[in-house]
Amino acid sequence: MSLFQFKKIGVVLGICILSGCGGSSDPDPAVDPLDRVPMLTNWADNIIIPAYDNFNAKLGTMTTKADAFTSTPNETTLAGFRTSWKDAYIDWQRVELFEFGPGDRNTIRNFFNIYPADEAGIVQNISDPAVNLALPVSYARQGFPALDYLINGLADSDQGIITLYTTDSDASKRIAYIDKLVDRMNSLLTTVISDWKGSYRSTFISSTGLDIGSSTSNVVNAYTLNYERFIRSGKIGIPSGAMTTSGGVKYPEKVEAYYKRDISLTLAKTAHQATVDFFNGKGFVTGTEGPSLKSYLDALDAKDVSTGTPLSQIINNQFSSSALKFDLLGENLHDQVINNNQSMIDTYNELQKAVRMLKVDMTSAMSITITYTDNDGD
Amino acid sequence: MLKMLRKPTFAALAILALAACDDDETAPDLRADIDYSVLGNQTPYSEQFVDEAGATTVDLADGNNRHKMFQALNYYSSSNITANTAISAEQLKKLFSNTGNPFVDISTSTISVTGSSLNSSGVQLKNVTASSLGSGADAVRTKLESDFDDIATASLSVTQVAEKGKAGKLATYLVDDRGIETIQIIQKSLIGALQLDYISNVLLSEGLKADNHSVVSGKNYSALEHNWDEAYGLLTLNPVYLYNTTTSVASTDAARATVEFGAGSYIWEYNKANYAKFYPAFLKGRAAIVNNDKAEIEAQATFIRTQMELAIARAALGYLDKWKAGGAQVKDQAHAIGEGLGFIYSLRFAKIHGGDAAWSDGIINGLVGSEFGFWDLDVTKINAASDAIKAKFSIQ
Repeated sequence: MSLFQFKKIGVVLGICILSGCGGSSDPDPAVDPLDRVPMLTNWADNIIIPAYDNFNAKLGTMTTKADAFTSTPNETTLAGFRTSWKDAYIDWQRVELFEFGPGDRNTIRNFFNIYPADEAGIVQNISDPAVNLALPVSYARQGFPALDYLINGLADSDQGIITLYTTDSDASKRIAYIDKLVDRMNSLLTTVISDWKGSYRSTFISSTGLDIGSSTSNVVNAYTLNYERFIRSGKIGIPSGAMTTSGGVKYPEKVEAYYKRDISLTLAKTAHQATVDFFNGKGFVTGTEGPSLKSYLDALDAKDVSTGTPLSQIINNQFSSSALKFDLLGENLHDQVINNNQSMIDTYNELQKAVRMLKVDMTSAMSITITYTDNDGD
Repeated sequence: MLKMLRKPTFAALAILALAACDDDETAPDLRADIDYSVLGNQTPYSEQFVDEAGATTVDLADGNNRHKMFQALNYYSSSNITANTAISAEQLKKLFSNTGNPFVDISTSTISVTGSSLNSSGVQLKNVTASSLGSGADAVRTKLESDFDDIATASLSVTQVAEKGKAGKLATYLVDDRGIETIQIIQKSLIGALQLDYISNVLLSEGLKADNHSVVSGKNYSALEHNWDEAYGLLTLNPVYLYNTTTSVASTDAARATVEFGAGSYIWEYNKANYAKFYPAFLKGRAAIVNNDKAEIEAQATFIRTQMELAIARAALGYLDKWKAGGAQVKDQAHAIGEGLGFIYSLRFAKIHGGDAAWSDGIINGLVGSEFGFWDLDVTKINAASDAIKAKFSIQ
């Protein structure tokens, strides 16, 4: 932590000398590398909103295919639903990290991607048309994991699955449940996107502080939490038993997309790449880098004092090392855990190295407080 | 120096004093003035305020004794929960009112209590709890005592696993049949009803009108000096509040140099911008009392009161957010909402920001007023509570 403190103080003092620290008479924002407005604007306009739009399109396609399946369940419509589900699930990974602002207000992740799916709860919900899906107990009974179970996991064969939506006595209830889940995903996403495109965008950009509740603080907290809990732990650490809390017990059934199985690595890699791209401020459509966590850390001159290496470079190097570990894994992480778990543990260990860099070094350099942990001991 | 300046205007002041029936300006100051610039922000509180003979004029016993009673009351419940043993509501009520010699020795890494000295201290928690409310205090005291009944009932299920409609433990947390972690309700409600109310709404408001021109019989302090010191002593047991403490990115107790309990720890955790100004404010206000500098006394009291209220409001918001936080387990959510509900209860004592009982109860009912309480919570209810608090406290 203190490694980066000294350099940061140095640059802050340097800037004070140049600008005179005149409070409201700050230098022209256009030339102030520590001005956060361009970074917030780049995030909102070039990354977050386009990423949500992209995901919304994928969810739209999935909705069409889901409707086709529920109106006429057969092998063709099932295949179409599955493909569109997979495509949407992959692009969900590129927005899941935006759990701040409207995403946080609606806790959209809780309703889109809490896994492993609660099979017994899903069965229970299917039999209760009035079930309240907003309660925490229903998190793992909806969203992509529940759909995964419903279209990939209900029976061993495709024909067996189709039977459950056609001639089985509960077929209409299952169809109704799929419709309900897909509707809910659409309505939640619509709320989040319309908030972003409505008043929240300017709220976000105009909240330029670093204190708790400011946009930058919210983003950094959500970003770090997503990396730590939902990429490192959720996708790799928990299934492989690499977490110290699991005592080495493997949970291959807790991989993401457990029923589809052969996309779990793609989901993990996509989420990891989204983390990297966000760090570098890479435009979702343009692919061009803009003001970002990287450029902000560089403006702070945050670096390892012993080697002089910029913190942003250290973090990017670590991201690259993690990506190399992902490349050694098979597409099916469930089988990977069972057959060669060491490579999962190696990946976890590599991912773990960036947690400290993001959660301690980056937040310390930026003067951001991590707010999502509760360690006060009572 | 101040006294020399006054001489030429003595006649004018005397006339004013007669007209205003205000003898403060004519009565001699009790002590020589203190230069604010000599106050030491890392120097123990009691050392900095002395009489002509060099003896301290500070007596923190009353404040510290109540602070320790608060710790002991909380420890009685927490130690039983840890040990999976029953909690007695009667014992909690005795600890609350200091009747029947209820306190025993406690020695842990964070608590050091000598039972006999609290038993014989002559102070209690109950009679100052919500005391700014006058006759309205009874409702608060009765509510806390019903919480004692609630936790005692829940503790009968301490070896069970809690679920919807059933008391028991969620991991290490004991919750009642509505999923409410009552120990948190009690502890966090007392941060408001005891610490915030007595410090802010009594000692640092009405209490500032106390006499400051004579020492209390048999004591080395004036009534006003003692009110200020009692406020400090109820906030912290430390000679320097948050001595040598810096902001930590991880917000953990380990990063805090001093052990603090109750309001003192949450001021640090939830008012990062201002916690370091609390000790200087206590010192300056106390020096201003010595100097009879009313404007300065008022300024420091207002700062302390305002920022303590904001810390508690932000704590409430922080715990509502923790209920929402991605990856939160049921146990985490129950613990977060237990803390949050207690802080929201405490906000009725945030008088500077206009908090009152009806407003606070409205938020609590909106959160957990339904049949199964915690188990019925959803993000819409959490957002409504957060929005109401943010609006009241002008928090972004």
